[in-house]
Amino acid sequence: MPANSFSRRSPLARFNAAFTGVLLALWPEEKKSWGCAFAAESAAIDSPQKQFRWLLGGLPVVLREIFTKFLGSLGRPIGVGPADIAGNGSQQGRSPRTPRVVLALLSLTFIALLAQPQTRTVFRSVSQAYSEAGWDSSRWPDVRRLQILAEENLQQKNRDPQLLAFASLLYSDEQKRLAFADAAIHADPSLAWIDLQNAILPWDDTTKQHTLSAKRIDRMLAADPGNGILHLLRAESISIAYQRKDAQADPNANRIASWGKGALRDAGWLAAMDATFKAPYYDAYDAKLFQLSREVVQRYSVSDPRIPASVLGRRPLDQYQAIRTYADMLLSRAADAQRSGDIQSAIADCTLILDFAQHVRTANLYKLEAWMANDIESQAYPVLQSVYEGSGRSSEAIGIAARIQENRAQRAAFSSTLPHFSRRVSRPWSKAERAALFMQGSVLAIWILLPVSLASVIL
Amino acid sequence: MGLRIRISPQTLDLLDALLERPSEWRHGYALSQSTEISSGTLYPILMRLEKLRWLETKWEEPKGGRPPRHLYRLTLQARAWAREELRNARARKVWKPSPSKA
Repeated sequence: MPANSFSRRSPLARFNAAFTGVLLALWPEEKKSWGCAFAAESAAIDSPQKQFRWLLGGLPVVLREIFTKFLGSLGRPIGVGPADIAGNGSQQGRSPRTPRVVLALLSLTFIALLAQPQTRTVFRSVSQAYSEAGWDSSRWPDVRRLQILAEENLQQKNRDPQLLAFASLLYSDEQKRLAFADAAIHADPSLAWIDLQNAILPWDDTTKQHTLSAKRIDRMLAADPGNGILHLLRAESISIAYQRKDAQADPNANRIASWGKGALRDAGWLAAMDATFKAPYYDAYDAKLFQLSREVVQRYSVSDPRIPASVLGRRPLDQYQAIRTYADMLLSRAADAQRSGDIQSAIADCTLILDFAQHVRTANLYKLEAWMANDIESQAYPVLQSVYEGSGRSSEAIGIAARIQENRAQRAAFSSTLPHFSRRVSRPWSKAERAALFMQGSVLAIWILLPVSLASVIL
Repeated sequence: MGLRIRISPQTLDLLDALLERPSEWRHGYALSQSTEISSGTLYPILMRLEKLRWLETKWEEPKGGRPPRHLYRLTLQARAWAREELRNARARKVWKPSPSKA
């Protein structure tokens, strides 16, 4: 029976004809003649079943040829076809010479990197850093997730106080912040310190800001009575009314010069500041906040680095103005005491400032406090030196002179690392800044190179 | 022959079949039937032999509305080499001709 006659009748024969066409189309161009040879043999087979078996055997041959062609293409430079290699045309052209295999490996590396959730989060964070929405933490997916987890946790019997405390810092809404902080402290009273992060609220609207209620400040002080910063918070709750009045009277006045004129006459503020300076230590709870962030981030697999950064990088309380104002008052009082011959009182006031500066410097992680300590020391040392010199205690005056030199050296070091205080000095980049630049550059490179390399390999 | 290929039992079967009437041109399907090698194994071997120039190929003249078929036979040089390979394989007992040819 002629082959054409059964191919018109049998469904399998019709399938075989289509199958032959597919196989022939799949054969790589350079080996097409072998495809034709294979197809021609199939046309000569009389039985549709035998023909099908023959064609089925051709499938792995075709796939193998396609794979061999793909492997061969990896070794060729981009833009150079197999015919160019055969005809040596590529050797003379000016087309790029990066082999496809390099780009294939590059693409695989990028895909492997993208498979990591942390990488995707970094991509998202870096990309969003360039958009307005990127700075709005309420739109970060991990913030939303933590908030939902915290809200669910609040309904449960077994609460996670650390989650609730951390989540309280992720809300801009004052009521929610305080409610979560309360729930966390209720579940674990040792977390009372978390309220320091709510010292001034709302933190995103300066026109409506107020300090924590006296009840909450008392709760913190009851849990940590020796901490100077909590007494400072109490002083701030008194001075805020005076600050507002000063600002209304003269909005253009230098804040530090006009700040707290009323507060300096307020016995409550003076007592709170005295307690601040005399407290045995001064702790802004950076270490506790860092530990809390680390535990929550690990426990709930938070991969967005912006979240701990946004929580850790904020100072809830403006410490400097009150401290500097009170230190200036003490120095003025010391100068008066010196003039009136009360050397012991003058020395006591200066020493109080210097001891306080030491507490501020040693207990905190950030440079802001170290700079603040340096600043009030730089005011107190010359006064103390003058008191010692005036009272004939020259050896102690010489010791203070050495401390003044030390203080100036520290100040110069701050000037080179804090741009705010020396805009004209070009400073070297920190490790974190270099790492951030590297990360952003890598993200940009991957965004550009991934589609280019994929297109080069596929096309 | 300077270049060598991996000599599988199927390759030896094919060489044996091609040496039966060495000057005669053979079709792929006929070779598959006489050696009982499936098409998926046969064609890669044919392609390798052709690449090494041990196999002569040509297209037959079209006849009866069917597409022209490809024809194969060993080159003169390859015939001597193939005989030697078969002899060696037989001596090493790694291959023996099919019962019908033995």
